[in-house]
Amino acid sequence: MSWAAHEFENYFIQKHIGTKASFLGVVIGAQLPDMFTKAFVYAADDAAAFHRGWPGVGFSHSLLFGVVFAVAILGITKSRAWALGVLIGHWAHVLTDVADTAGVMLFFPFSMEPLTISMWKHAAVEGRYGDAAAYYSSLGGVWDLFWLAVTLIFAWRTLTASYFRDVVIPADPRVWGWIHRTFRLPERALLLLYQGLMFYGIGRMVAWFLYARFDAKTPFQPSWGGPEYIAGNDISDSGWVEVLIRTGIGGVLFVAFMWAGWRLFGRRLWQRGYDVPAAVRGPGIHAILELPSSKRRTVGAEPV
Amino acid sequence: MLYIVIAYFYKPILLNWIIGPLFMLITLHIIPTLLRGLRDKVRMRFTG
Ligand SMILES: [Zn+2]
Repeated sequence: MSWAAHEFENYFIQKHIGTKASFLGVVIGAQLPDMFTKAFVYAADDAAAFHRGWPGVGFSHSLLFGVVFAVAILGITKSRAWALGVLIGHWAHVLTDVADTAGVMLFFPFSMEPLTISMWKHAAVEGRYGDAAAYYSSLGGVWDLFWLAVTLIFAWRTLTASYFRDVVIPADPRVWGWIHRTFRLPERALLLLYQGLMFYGIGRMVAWFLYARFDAKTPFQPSWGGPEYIAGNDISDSGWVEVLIRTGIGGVLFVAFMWAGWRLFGRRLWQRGYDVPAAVRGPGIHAILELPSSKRRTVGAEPV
Repeated sequence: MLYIVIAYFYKPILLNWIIGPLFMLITLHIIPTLLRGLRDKVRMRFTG
Protein backbone atom coordinates (compact mmCIF):
# COMPACT_ATOMS: atom_id res chain seq x y z
CA MET A 1 0.00 0.00 0.00
CA SER A 2 1.01 3.58 -0.39
CA TRP A 3 0.69 6.20 2.31
CA ALA A 4 1.01 9.90 1.61
CA ALA A 5 1.14 9.34 -2.17
CA HIS A 6 -2.64 8.90 -2.02
CA GLU A 7 -2.93 12.49 -0.80
CA PHE A 8 -0.42 14.13 -3.16
CA GLU A 9 -1.87 12.45 -6.24
CA ASN A 10 -5.17 14.26 -5.84
CA TYR A 11 -3.67 17.64 -6.70
CA PHE A 12 -1.84 16.23 -9.69
CA ILE A 13 -5.14 14.75 -10.87
CA GLN A 14 -6.92 18.04 -10.19
CA LYS A 15 -4.58 19.74 -12.62
CA HIS A 16 -5.77 17.41 -15.36
CA ILE A 17 -9.48 17.39 -14.69
CA GLY A 18 -9.98 21.13 -14.19
CA THR A 19 -13.71 21.76 -13.89
CA LYS A 20 -14.68 18.40 -15.40
CA ALA A 21 -14.83 16.55 -12.07
CA SER A 22 -15.12 17.35 -8.37
CA PHE A 23 -11.93 17.52 -6.30
CA LEU A 24 -13.84 16.32 -3.24
CA GLY A 25 -15.07 13.39 -5.30
CA VAL A 26 -11.49 12.52 -6.20
CA VAL A 27 -10.47 12.66 -2.53
CA ILE A 28 -13.31 10.36 -1.46
CA GLY A 29 -12.61 8.00 -4.35
CA ALA A 30 -8.92 7.81 -3.42
CA GLN A 31 -9.83 6.87 0.16
CA LEU A 32 -12.47 4.26 -0.76
CA PRO A 33 -10.26 1.17 -1.13
CA ASP A 34 -8.67 1.50 2.30
CA MET A 35 -11.37 3.40 4.19
CA PHE A 36 -13.46 0.39 5.17
CA THR A 37 -10.78 -2.26 4.99
CA LYS A 38 -7.63 -1.01 6.74
CA ALA A 39 -8.79 -1.69 10.30
CA PHE A 40 -9.75 -5.28 9.43
CA VAL A 41 -6.57 -5.79 7.46
CA TYR A 42 -4.37 -5.22 10.49
CA ALA A 43 -6.46 -7.69 12.46
CA ALA A 44 -6.37 -10.44 9.82
CA ASP A 45 -4.21 -13.56 10.14
CA ASP A 46 -2.76 -13.20 6.67
CA ALA A 47 -2.93 -9.44 6.24
CA ALA A 48 -1.62 -9.20 2.68
CA ALA A 49 -3.88 -11.94 1.29
CA PHE A 50 -6.91 -10.51 3.08
CA HIS A 51 -6.20 -6.95 1.92
CA ARG A 52 -5.58 -7.71 -1.74
CA GLY A 53 -6.73 -11.27 -2.44
CA TRP A 54 -9.87 -13.32 -2.78
CA PRO A 55 -11.39 -14.46 -0.46
CA GLY A 56 -10.74 -11.20 1.35
CA VAL A 57 -11.33 -7.53 0.62
CA GLY A 58 -9.04 -7.44 -2.41
CA PHE A 59 -12.01 -6.53 -4.58
CA SER A 60 -11.85 -3.02 -3.07
CA HIS A 61 -8.64 -2.60 -5.06
CA SER A 62 -10.15 -3.57 -8.45
CA LEU A 63 -11.18 -1.23 -11.25
CA LEU A 64 -14.73 -2.58 -11.19
CA PHE A 65 -15.22 -1.54 -7.54
CA GLY A 66 -14.70 2.10 -8.50
CA VAL A 67 -17.08 1.72 -11.42
CA VAL A 68 -19.82 0.33 -9.15
CA PHE A 69 -19.50 3.32 -6.82
CA ALA A 70 -19.38 5.81 -9.69
CA VAL A 71 -22.51 4.31 -11.28
CA ALA A 72 -24.34 4.39 -7.94
CA ILE A 73 -23.37 8.05 -7.43
CA LEU A 74 -24.40 8.98 -10.94
CA GLY A 75 -27.72 7.19 -10.48
CA ILE A 76 -28.49 8.77 -7.11
CA THR A 77 -27.07 12.30 -7.34
CA LYS A 78 -27.05 12.65 -11.16
CA SER A 79 -23.85 14.64 -10.72
CA ARG A 80 -21.36 13.85 -13.48
CA ALA A 81 -18.61 15.76 -11.66
CA TRP A 82 -18.94 13.53 -8.60
CA ALA A 83 -19.28 10.23 -10.47
CA LEU A 84 -16.17 11.02 -12.51
CA GLY A 85 -14.26 12.35 -9.51
CA VAL A 86 -14.86 9.22 -7.44
CA LEU A 87 -13.98 6.97 -10.37
CA ILE A 88 -10.73 8.80 -11.16
CA GLY A 89 -9.69 8.99 -7.49
CA HIS A 90 -10.40 5.29 -6.95
CA TRP A 91 -8.55 4.16 -10.07
CA ALA A 92 -5.56 6.31 -9.19
CA HIS A 93 -5.38 4.63 -5.77
CA VAL A 94 -5.61 1.16 -7.28
CA LEU A 95 -2.91 1.87 -9.85
CA THR A 96 -0.62 3.36 -7.19
CA ASP A 97 -0.91 0.20 -5.11
CA VAL A 98 0.44 -1.93 -7.98
CA ALA A 99 3.89 -1.06 -6.68
CA ASP A 100 3.88 -3.16 -3.48
CA THR A 101 4.48 -6.92 -3.34
CA ALA A 102 0.88 -7.92 -2.59
CA GLY A 103 -0.31 -6.23 -5.79
CA VAL A 104 -3.88 -5.57 -6.88
CA MET A 105 -6.47 -7.68 -8.68
CA LEU A 106 -6.99 -5.04 -11.34
CA PHE A 107 -9.63 -6.93 -13.31
CA PHE A 108 -11.43 -8.75 -10.48
CA PRO A 109 -13.66 -10.78 -10.85
CA PHE A 110 -12.44 -11.55 -14.37
CA SER A 111 -8.93 -12.30 -13.16
CA MET A 112 -7.96 -13.19 -9.59
CA GLU A 113 -4.28 -12.72 -10.34
CA PRO A 114 -2.73 -9.90 -8.32
CA LEU A 115 -0.64 -7.59 -10.46
CA THR A 116 2.53 -6.11 -8.98
CA ILE A 117 5.87 -4.59 -9.83
CA SER A 118 7.14 -5.50 -6.30
CA MET A 119 8.87 -2.21 -5.61
CA TRP A 120 8.50 -2.58 -1.85
CA LYS A 121 7.04 -5.11 0.59
CA HIS A 122 3.41 -5.03 1.63
CA ALA A 123 3.95 -5.11 5.38
CA ALA A 124 0.51 -4.91 6.99
CA VAL A 125 1.40 -8.16 8.75
CA GLU A 126 3.59 -6.01 11.02
CA GLY A 127 0.58 -4.13 12.38
CA ARG A 128 -0.11 -0.46 11.87
CA TYR A 129 3.09 1.00 13.32
CA GLY A 130 5.30 -1.76 11.96
CA ASP A 131 3.72 -1.27 8.56
CA ALA A 132 4.50 2.43 8.67
CA ALA A 133 8.07 1.78 9.78
CA ALA A 134 8.58 -0.77 7.00
CA TYR A 135 7.02 1.48 4.38
CA TYR A 136 9.23 4.40 5.27
CA SER A 137 12.26 2.11 5.33
CA SER A 138 11.67 0.99 1.75
CA LEU A 139 11.25 2.52 -1.68
CA GLY A 140 7.69 3.26 -0.57
CA GLY A 141 8.89 6.32 1.29
CA VAL A 142 10.82 7.37 -1.80
CA TRP A 143 7.64 6.84 -3.84
CA ASP A 144 5.83 9.29 -1.52
CA LEU A 145 8.66 11.79 -1.95
CA PHE A 146 8.51 11.32 -5.72
CA TRP A 147 4.78 12.16 -5.76
CA LEU A 148 5.35 15.13 -3.52
CA ALA A 149 7.98 16.42 -5.96
CA VAL A 150 5.79 15.74 -9.00
CA THR A 151 2.88 17.56 -7.38
CA LEU A 152 4.94 20.55 -6.28
CA ILE A 153 6.73 20.89 -9.61
CA PHE A 154 3.92 20.23 -12.07
CA ALA A 155 0.78 21.02 -10.10
CA TRP A 156 1.82 23.76 -7.65
CA ARG A 157 -0.61 26.11 -9.32
CA THR A 158 -3.55 23.97 -8.13
CA LEU A 159 -2.63 24.93 -4.55
CA THR A 160 -3.05 28.68 -5.09
CA ALA A 161 -6.02 30.70 -3.90
CA SER A 162 -6.87 31.91 -7.40
CA TYR A 163 -6.93 28.38 -8.81
CA PHE A 164 -9.17 27.28 -5.95
CA ARG A 165 -11.57 30.15 -6.64
CA ASP A 166 -11.54 29.85 -10.44
CA VAL A 167 -11.53 26.10 -10.94
CA VAL A 168 -12.07 23.97 -7.83
CA ILE A 169 -15.18 25.73 -6.50
CA PRO A 170 -16.90 26.20 -9.91
CA ALA A 171 -16.35 22.48 -10.56
CA ASP A 172 -18.44 21.62 -7.50
CA PRO A 173 -20.41 24.69 -6.36
CA ARG A 174 -23.06 22.61 -4.59
CA VAL A 175 -20.92 20.81 -2.05
CA TRP A 176 -18.48 23.68 -1.43
CA GLY A 177 -21.52 25.93 -1.03
CA TRP A 178 -23.05 23.49 1.40
CA ILE A 179 -19.86 23.40 3.53
CA HIS A 180 -19.71 27.19 3.35
CA ARG A 181 -23.27 27.60 4.67
CA THR A 182 -23.45 24.71 7.11
CA PHE A 183 -20.18 25.38 8.93
CA ARG A 184 -20.25 29.13 8.25
CA LEU A 185 -16.78 29.05 6.76
CA PRO A 186 -15.62 31.99 4.64
CA GLU A 187 -13.79 31.34 1.38
CA ARG A 188 -10.41 31.68 3.09
CA ALA A 189 -11.33 28.82 5.44
CA LEU A 190 -12.51 26.66 2.54
CA LEU A 191 -9.13 27.22 0.92
CA LEU A 192 -7.41 26.03 4.09
CA LEU A 193 -9.60 22.94 4.03
CA TYR A 194 -8.59 22.34 0.41
CA GLN A 195 -4.88 22.87 1.01
CA GLY A 196 -5.07 20.96 4.29
CA LEU A 197 -4.93 17.58 2.60
CA MET A 198 -1.58 18.43 1.00
CA PHE A 199 -0.27 19.64 4.33
CA TYR A 200 -1.58 16.46 5.97
CA GLY A 201 0.24 14.32 3.40
CA ILE A 202 3.53 16.08 4.05
CA GLY A 203 3.10 16.01 7.83
CA ARG A 204 2.22 12.35 7.79
CA MET A 205 5.15 11.48 5.57
CA VAL A 206 7.70 13.34 7.67
CA ALA A 207 6.28 12.16 11.01
CA TRP A 208 6.22 8.49 10.03
CA PHE A 209 9.66 8.73 8.47
CA LEU A 210 11.05 10.15 11.71
CA TYR A 211 9.18 7.46 13.64
CA ALA A 212 10.81 4.76 11.51
CA ARG A 213 14.30 6.24 12.01
CA PHE A 214 14.28 7.26 15.67
CA ASP A 215 11.52 5.30 17.40
CA ALA A 216 11.09 2.00 15.60
CA LYS A 217 14.79 2.26 14.55
CA THR A 218 14.28 0.11 11.47
CA PRO A 219 17.14 0.07 8.93
CA PHE A 220 16.59 2.27 5.87
CA GLN A 221 16.80 -0.15 2.92
CA PRO A 222 15.47 1.56 -0.19
CA SER A 223 16.31 -1.24 -2.62
CA TRP A 224 13.89 -2.88 -5.05
CA GLY A 225 11.57 -5.20 -3.11
CA GLY A 226 12.82 -3.97 0.28
CA PRO A 227 13.04 -3.59 3.15
CA GLU A 228 15.11 -6.75 3.62
CA TYR A 229 14.42 -7.17 7.33
CA ILE A 230 10.84 -8.20 6.57
CA ALA A 231 9.94 -11.63 5.16
CA GLY A 232 8.39 -11.56 1.70
CA ASN A 233 4.64 -11.90 1.43
CA ASP A 234 3.85 -12.17 -2.24
CA ILE A 235 0.30 -13.55 -2.19
CA SER A 236 0.59 -15.31 -5.54
CA ASP A 237 3.00 -18.08 -6.51
CA SER A 238 2.35 -18.10 -10.25
CA GLY A 239 5.09 -17.26 -12.75
CA TRP A 240 5.01 -14.11 -14.83
CA VAL A 241 3.75 -15.88 -17.97
CA GLU A 242 0.74 -17.16 -16.05
CA VAL A 243 0.15 -13.72 -14.56
CA LEU A 244 0.36 -12.15 -18.01
CA ILE A 245 -2.10 -14.57 -19.59
CA ARG A 246 -4.66 -14.40 -16.78
CA THR A 247 -4.43 -10.62 -16.60
CA GLY A 248 -4.75 -10.38 -20.39
CA ILE A 249 -7.91 -12.47 -20.41
CA GLY A 250 -9.24 -10.55 -17.40
CA GLY A 251 -8.52 -7.25 -19.13
CA VAL A 252 -10.34 -8.23 -22.30
CA LEU A 253 -13.36 -9.48 -20.35
CA PHE A 254 -13.35 -6.31 -18.23
CA VAL A 255 -13.32 -4.04 -21.28
CA ALA A 256 -16.10 -6.09 -22.90
CA PHE A 257 -18.13 -5.91 -19.69
CA MET A 258 -17.63 -2.15 -19.45
CA TRP A 259 -18.66 -1.67 -23.06
CA ALA A 260 -21.79 -3.77 -22.61
CA GLY A 261 -22.64 -1.93 -19.39
CA TRP A 262 -22.22 1.41 -21.14
CA ARG A 263 -24.50 0.36 -24.00
CA LEU A 264 -27.12 -1.17 -21.70
CA PHE A 265 -27.49 1.52 -19.06
CA GLY A 266 -24.32 3.56 -18.53
CA ARG A 267 -24.96 5.89 -21.44
CA ARG A 268 -28.56 6.50 -20.39
CA LEU A 269 -27.49 7.30 -16.82
CA TRP A 270 -24.83 9.69 -18.14
CA GLN A 271 -27.34 11.50 -20.33
CA ARG A 272 -29.73 11.86 -17.39
CA GLY A 273 -26.90 13.35 -15.33
CA TYR A 274 -26.12 17.07 -15.18
CA ASP A 275 -22.99 19.15 -15.59
CA VAL A 276 -22.07 22.23 -13.59
CA PRO A 277 -22.17 25.41 -15.75
CA ALA A 278 -18.38 25.73 -15.60
CA ALA A 279 -17.73 22.28 -17.06
CA VAL A 280 -16.96 22.20 -20.76
CA ARG A 281 -16.59 18.71 -22.15
CA GLY A 282 -14.65 18.08 -25.31
CA PRO A 283 -14.92 14.91 -27.41
CA GLY A 284 -13.52 11.52 -26.33
CA ILE A 285 -10.86 11.63 -23.61
CA HIS A 286 -11.17 15.43 -23.49
CA ALA A 287 -14.58 14.94 -21.91
CA ILE A 288 -12.77 13.80 -18.78
CA LEU A 289 -9.25 15.19 -18.82
CA GLU A 290 -7.81 18.60 -19.48
CA LEU A 291 -4.85 17.75 -21.70
CA PRO A 292 -2.41 20.15 -23.32
CA SER A 293 -4.11 19.27 -26.60
CA SER A 294 -7.56 20.18 -25.25
CA LYS A 295 -8.66 23.56 -26.43
CA ARG A 296 -7.70 25.99 -23.70
CA ARG A 297 -10.59 27.83 -22.27
CA THR A 298 -10.70 30.66 -19.79
CA VAL A 299 -12.83 30.07 -16.75
CA GLY A 300 -15.02 32.99 -15.79
CA ALA A 301 -14.31 33.95 -12.22
CA GLU A 302 -17.51 33.26 -10.34
CA PRO A 303 -17.42 34.29 -6.71
CA VAL A 304 -19.31 32.03 -4.36
CA MET B 1 6.08 21.75 12.21
CA LEU B 2 3.87 21.60 15.25
CA TYR B 3 1.82 18.92 13.53
CA ILE B 4 4.89 16.77 12.99
CA VAL B 5 5.84 17.02 16.64
CA ILE B 6 2.33 16.05 17.73
CA ALA B 7 2.03 13.32 15.12
CA TYR B 8 5.35 11.81 16.15
CA PHE B 9 4.17 11.17 19.67
CA TYR B 10 0.47 10.71 19.24
CA LYS B 11 -0.75 8.44 16.51
CA PRO B 12 -4.29 7.15 17.00
CA ILE B 13 -6.89 7.13 14.25
CA LEU B 14 -8.47 10.34 15.53
CA LEU B 15 -5.41 12.40 14.72
CA ASN B 16 -4.65 10.61 11.51
CA TRP B 17 -8.00 10.64 9.83
CA ILE B 18 -9.91 13.52 11.32
CA ILE B 19 -7.65 16.18 12.77
CA GLY B 20 -4.87 15.61 10.23
CA PRO B 21 -6.66 16.87 7.12
CA LEU B 22 -8.41 19.60 9.13
CA PHE B 23 -5.28 20.76 10.94
CA MET B 24 -4.66 23.85 8.83
CA LEU B 25 -8.27 24.88 9.07
CA ILE B 26 -8.30 24.45 12.84
CA THR B 27 -5.03 26.22 13.65
CA LEU B 28 -5.22 28.99 11.07
CA HIS B 29 -8.93 29.76 11.09
CA ILE B 30 -11.09 28.24 13.80
CA ILE B 31 -8.79 28.87 16.77
CA PRO B 32 -7.94 32.48 15.75
CA THR B 33 -11.63 33.19 15.16
CA LEU B 34 -12.60 31.81 18.56
CA LEU B 35 -9.81 33.76 20.26
CA ARG B 36 -10.84 36.96 18.52
CA GLY B 37 -14.43 36.38 19.63
CA LEU B 38 -13.30 35.83 23.23
CA ARG B 39 -11.03 38.89 23.20
CA ASP B 40 -13.85 41.07 21.88
CA LYS B 41 -16.17 39.78 24.58
CA VAL B 42 -13.62 40.56 27.32
CA ARG B 43 -12.99 44.03 25.91
CA MET B 44 -16.73 44.72 25.72
CA ARG B 45 -17.09 43.93 29.40
CA PHE B 46 -14.30 46.28 30.48
CA THR B 47 -14.98 49.18 28.18
CA GLY B 48 -18.73 48.83 28.57
ZN1 LIG C 1 -4.70 0.73 -0.98
